[in-house]
Amino acid sequence: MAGDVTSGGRAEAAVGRPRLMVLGCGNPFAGDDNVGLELVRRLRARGSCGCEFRDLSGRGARPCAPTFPRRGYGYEFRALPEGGLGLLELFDRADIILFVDAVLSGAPPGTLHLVLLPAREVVPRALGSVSSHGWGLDEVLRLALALGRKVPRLMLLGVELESVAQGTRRTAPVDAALEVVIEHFPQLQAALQDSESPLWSGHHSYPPRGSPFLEFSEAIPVLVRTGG
Amino acid sequence: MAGEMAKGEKTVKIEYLTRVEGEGGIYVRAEGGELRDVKLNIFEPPRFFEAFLRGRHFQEVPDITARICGICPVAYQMSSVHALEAALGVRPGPEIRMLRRLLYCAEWIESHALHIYLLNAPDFLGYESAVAMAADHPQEVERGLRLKKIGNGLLDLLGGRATHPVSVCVGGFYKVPRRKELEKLREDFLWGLEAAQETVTWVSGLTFPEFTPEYEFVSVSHPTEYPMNERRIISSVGLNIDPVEYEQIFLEEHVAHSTALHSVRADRGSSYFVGPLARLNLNFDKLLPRAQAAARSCGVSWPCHNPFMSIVARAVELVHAFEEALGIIDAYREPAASRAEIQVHAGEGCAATEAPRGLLYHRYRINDQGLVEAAKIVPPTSQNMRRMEDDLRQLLPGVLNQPDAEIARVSENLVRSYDPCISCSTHFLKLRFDRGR
Repeated sequence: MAGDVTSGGRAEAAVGRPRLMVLGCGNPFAGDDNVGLELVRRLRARGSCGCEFRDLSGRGARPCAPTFPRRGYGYEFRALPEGGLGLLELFDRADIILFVDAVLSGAPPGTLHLVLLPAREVVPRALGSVSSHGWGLDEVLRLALALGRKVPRLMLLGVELESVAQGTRRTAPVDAALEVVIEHFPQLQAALQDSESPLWSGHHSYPPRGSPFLEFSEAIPVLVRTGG
Repeated sequence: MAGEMAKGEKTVKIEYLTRVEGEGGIYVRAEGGELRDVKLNIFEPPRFFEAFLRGRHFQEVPDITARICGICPVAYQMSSVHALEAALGVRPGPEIRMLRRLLYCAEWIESHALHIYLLNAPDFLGYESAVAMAADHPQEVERGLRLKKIGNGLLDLLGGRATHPVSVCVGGFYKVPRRKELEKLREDFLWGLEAAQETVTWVSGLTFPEFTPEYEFVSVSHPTEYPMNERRIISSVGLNIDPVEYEQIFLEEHVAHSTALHSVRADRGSSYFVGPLARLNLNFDKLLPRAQAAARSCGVSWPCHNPFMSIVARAVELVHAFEEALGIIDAYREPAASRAEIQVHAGEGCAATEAPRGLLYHRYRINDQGLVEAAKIVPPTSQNMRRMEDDLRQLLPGVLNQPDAEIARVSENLVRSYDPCISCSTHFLKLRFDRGR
């Protein structure tokens, strides 16, 4: 449902390079929760890099919740109303979709996480499978596969949050992490668009196999970052 | 679903009634093979919209009420703007009126397509979900998805975004579309009109349970139009009132087992039925020609009293919505002003419009500063809540000798046929079934 998102420049058909869509998620008015939206805004303002930038700003589609328990403790990944089916319409527009959102795992604020999706450890909320208001990513993927539709490679860039209090500004650790991602986005983009990159090792199966958690040190050393 | 046997009683629990919007549960108790009690338990927390609208400027109301529902925000916007315009004595011009109908068509299309193809059809084809159905019926599911996408696209254009539109205001629109923008949608809508007619053929070929209770159907009625935005409220037993009389005729009641209020007829405490089936039964002659032809040729005898066949009424309305949308697009002239001027004064007004799932009543009282002093919102699902319980009371005795899973399936199918939006009315249903053994 393209109507739920704000389009940036359409991905350029760079010869031989897969189309990358960056989807910023979150609530613009809830402190660190807007980090995905802000990243998309700033990358879009920097001009064309061959990516399509979109935001899912609480207009319904919002793939990630600021609830992202510590690794190994049952991650959570949720969609709010209309998000899921909206995503289905975006699948045709990209070969790779990078979701960017604030996450909560217990790591120091500002820590960056890169997670392959779908992932057993990132569990769609029950809502996603039982309510028309909450088609989750998992259900959308199953629908896409049942229909024989193309499913892009999916990845989540999570920024460990400190506070998502309503009406507050982003915190300093998250702002610092945001700067790191913006500065090194070309390297991240290159790694994402390189199908031989270690980032994609083990990918792309559904249901997922193996651990979805990526070792930054192998793929994008400059993004190895622990907040605090 | 889990079954338990203890001390001669059997309890059946279904943790979630799927493919409805909102959270709730069904409680069924039988003793000695006879049905003793049925309750539609709504445990979604109340949302207090009527309370926190108080003190807000009237022009904020359509944006706030749109947040009541992600599927039918336009309905909440339409009922609120019409009620506030009644309070303020504002009468938008014909172009605005038609744009509002076009916006409503968009919402009916996206909501009806979602419900027909992804929520309700799996019931009649024996699938647990649309995903399971998609593997065997990919063509139909793709058709549903494209229909929904077309509705969302029109919502996006008219409303500024597809979910919780931002363009609607008291008096008209903050921004109206350019004719060229609407013309670009025409090809999609021509396809949609054909696809909607195929939808009627498809759903009318489904197998429905035999179940035809006596109902009082209630809907908005207009002398020349299929009901959407205005004007009177009529019923199948002769009711014909102005919306200002609504609260004398219909009463909202608290019930202990539900955070959603139950609406009944004030005089006799009886339930009534709102939604596509009520609209179509009461306004068949107002359907546009293609929709009416589809309704006549689909093999259903109208008026129809089978709630399971609401899916057919919904499909006929899908045809109507595409047909009407095309007519409005073709006739569209950009209005000179996107909204009427408003002289703020104290006043009170009400309105009833037709949400995809039924009649939606709003009333507001504002002061001379234009601030809301009182608000009343009666969603369609609240109005159908008692009716759904009554249906279950009539339906379940006929299936009590069936296995628990079949009882649960029939109950869920019935409730889903009403397309309830529980989150509007106050989210999933749990079914608890006590069977005396």
